[in-house]
Amino acid sequence: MSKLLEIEQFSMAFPGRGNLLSDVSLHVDDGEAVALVGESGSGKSLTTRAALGLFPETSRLSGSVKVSGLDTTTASGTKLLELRRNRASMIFQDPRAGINPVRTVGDFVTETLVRWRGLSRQEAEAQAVAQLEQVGLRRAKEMMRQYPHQLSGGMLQRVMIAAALLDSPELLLCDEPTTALDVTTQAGIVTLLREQQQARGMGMLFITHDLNLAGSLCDRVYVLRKGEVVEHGGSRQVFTSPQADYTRQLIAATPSIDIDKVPAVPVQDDQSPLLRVEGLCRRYTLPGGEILNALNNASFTLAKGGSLGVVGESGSGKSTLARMIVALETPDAGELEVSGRPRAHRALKAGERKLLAKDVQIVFQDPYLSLDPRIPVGKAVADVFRLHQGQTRSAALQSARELLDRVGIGPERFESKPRALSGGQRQRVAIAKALAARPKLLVLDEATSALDVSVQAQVLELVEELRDQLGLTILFVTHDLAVVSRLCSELLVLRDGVIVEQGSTAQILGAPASEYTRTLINSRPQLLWQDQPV
Amino acid sequence: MTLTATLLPGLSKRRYGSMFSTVGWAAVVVALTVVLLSVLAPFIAPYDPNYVDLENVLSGPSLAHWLGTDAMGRDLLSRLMFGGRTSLVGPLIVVVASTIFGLLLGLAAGWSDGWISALLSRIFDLVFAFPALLLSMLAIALFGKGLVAPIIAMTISYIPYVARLTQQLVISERSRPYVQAYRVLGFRTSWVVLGRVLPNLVPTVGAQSTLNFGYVLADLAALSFIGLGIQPPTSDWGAMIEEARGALLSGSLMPALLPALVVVLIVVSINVIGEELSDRIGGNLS
Repeated sequence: MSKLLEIEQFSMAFPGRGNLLSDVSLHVDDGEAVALVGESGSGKSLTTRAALGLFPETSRLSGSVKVSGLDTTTASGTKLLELRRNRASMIFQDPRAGINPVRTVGDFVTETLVRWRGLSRQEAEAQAVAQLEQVGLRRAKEMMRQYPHQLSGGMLQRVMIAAALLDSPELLLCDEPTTALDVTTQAGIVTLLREQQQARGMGMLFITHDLNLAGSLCDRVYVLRKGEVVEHGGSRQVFTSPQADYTRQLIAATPSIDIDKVPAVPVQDDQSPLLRVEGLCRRYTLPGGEILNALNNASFTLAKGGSLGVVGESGSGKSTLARMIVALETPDAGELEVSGRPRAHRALKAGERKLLAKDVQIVFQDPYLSLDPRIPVGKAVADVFRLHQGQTRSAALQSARELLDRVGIGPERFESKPRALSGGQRQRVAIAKALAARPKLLVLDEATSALDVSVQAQVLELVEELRDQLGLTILFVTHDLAVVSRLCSELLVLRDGVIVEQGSTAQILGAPASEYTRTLINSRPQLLWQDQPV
Repeated sequence: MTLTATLLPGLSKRRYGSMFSTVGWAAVVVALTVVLLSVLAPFIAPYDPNYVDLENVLSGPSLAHWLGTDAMGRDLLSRLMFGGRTSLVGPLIVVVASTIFGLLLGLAAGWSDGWISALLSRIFDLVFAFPALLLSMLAIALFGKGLVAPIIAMTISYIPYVARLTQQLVISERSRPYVQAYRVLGFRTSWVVLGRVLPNLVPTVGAQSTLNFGYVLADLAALSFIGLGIQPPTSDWGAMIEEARGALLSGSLMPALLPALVVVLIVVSINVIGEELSDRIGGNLS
């Protein structure tokens, strides 16, 4: 087999910023699926783009990047165009960002066929429809006349894959193509990519931050960290006997479902649950008058000191539930009681909000958006102490210092603005801010989804620690079953606004009663060798 | 893409870490020079701006009169410097006042739902419909010539520019998680809006107001030019152009050209600064 993609001693530097990639060497053979695994800032996207000759302006390059013998670091523009048109294709993380929203799917898929291959419109359309069907899209003919906004994210990613495959590339570059998708959708896309790659004998370079996903799809793995390849080898070998410390950390940090490690359900004190939800509903009227039941007739209780995981895919109503609990949304019907105080079906008044704040707090998903960009983190936390604990300015600053220290933000960061902090640090600050109100219930709305796996592991550890030490009650909203399995003793599975299953985490994960929960569990990436005898 | 970026692509690239591009810095220097010369006019101007010297009318540039004299023998440089004081103070008052009122009204319109927001929005639309110059002339017709009536009228016309922008910013800001976090934490709405959201808007709104300064200056100069603004003998750039019309007919360019040039220079400089500021802020916020 010849080497389809061969990157040798490739370095990329920026004036004033040093090397972003140092001596990266990797290769992809014909018909081989190779994963490039790394966290944010590891340089995995830069490496992949280099294969198409896409280099950031003002970057300085050394080494070589060869695709079928053509060195993209020195190749002429026309050669690169020829390469991109005929031999290599790329699919991206966000399919919506890569498609013109005002043209139809058909326009998008047939464009290269008509312009570069000189096919007639009819021929191009016939080929496109066949290709769309091949990637598992039903009603492909109708879809040709639809617009991108009429398709779901998963369908659109299939369209992108179909368009990439129409060029019959020898090399398919995939840049986190499933990261923005739900886990059940991801499973379908991964299966599709694997099938197509094998059927066509394509080489594939698959970029991901998810080691498990890499192991479920690829024969070989490269682990990239801060622009350097720290480990490479067969997927199984890298998984079972990792050589580099970093790979070991990454594997340890990657959450997995382990029923033995699920926290036990605490002894219930059913007389006074901290959170009681009964027949809760939230409806939205969509433009055009259609009514969407974001949450329909939800009922459950959460005891003091308990931990409940709310799991669901996008559109399941899990965030709506979280937002109603903290009064960012008003319920349409049903009862919602926190600490025995029933919630009114109207926007809360200032006094009511302040009272509620002492009962329940929330940590949002994106730590880059949930902190005020202008306020130093110490002051942000101190403000909460002043409001809720009635402390003087200096006492509040002292309390803030202690609390931030407790969540792992040292005094040297006290005066920092959020933009000077990393994602993990910001999320720690967000947690400290919430805790400063001394709430009984902490709602975490996908609070670790935006973080790198190793950072996610640290933040989860912190939440666990705080839960045990402060006796916090936790409601964790997430799409990731593995994360809840570690943190929550009880589980609630939502789908399309309806609770499909609830009970103890160990029981649900061990023996799911509903079909949907089973699908959710089975959609998690399965390592290629998992079902094979050792 | 700013206008200067189109005309002078090389000089309008901002170097990393620098506040402005080369063009931007040039604009800052020009604007500062004009402002300083005007502010310091009483101390550094070579002549009394109103001193009439009939033996020396319409003289060209000389050692005694660097930029020459006008039809009444008044020193043009001194008149330009003193003219800046009136010509710059008007826009300053308008910009400060319209920014303050615009911010407050915009906050109210952006934060409230229902009828308050709808009512304010319609009022903004209504004021937008009147050209600032027309409103000013109306005010002058009612209250008489001078600086006060047009300044009030201009302030009213420029409030919607600031308010509409503020309203849009507030609407996008209030749905941001950090603002929602403040709500969940139980902070009072007034504290969040005035203490936390408002300061985050100031840079963007400030950039818009900087742009407004240039427009207002040109508008006020136009009013003076048609004889409705500053009244003679007070020197003012717009009024100077008007007074020099006669000289223009008799072949003397300088008395009309110089104040016009200064107006163009300052308006262009302010616009460049405003554009670069808003570009910079837009880049930082997104």
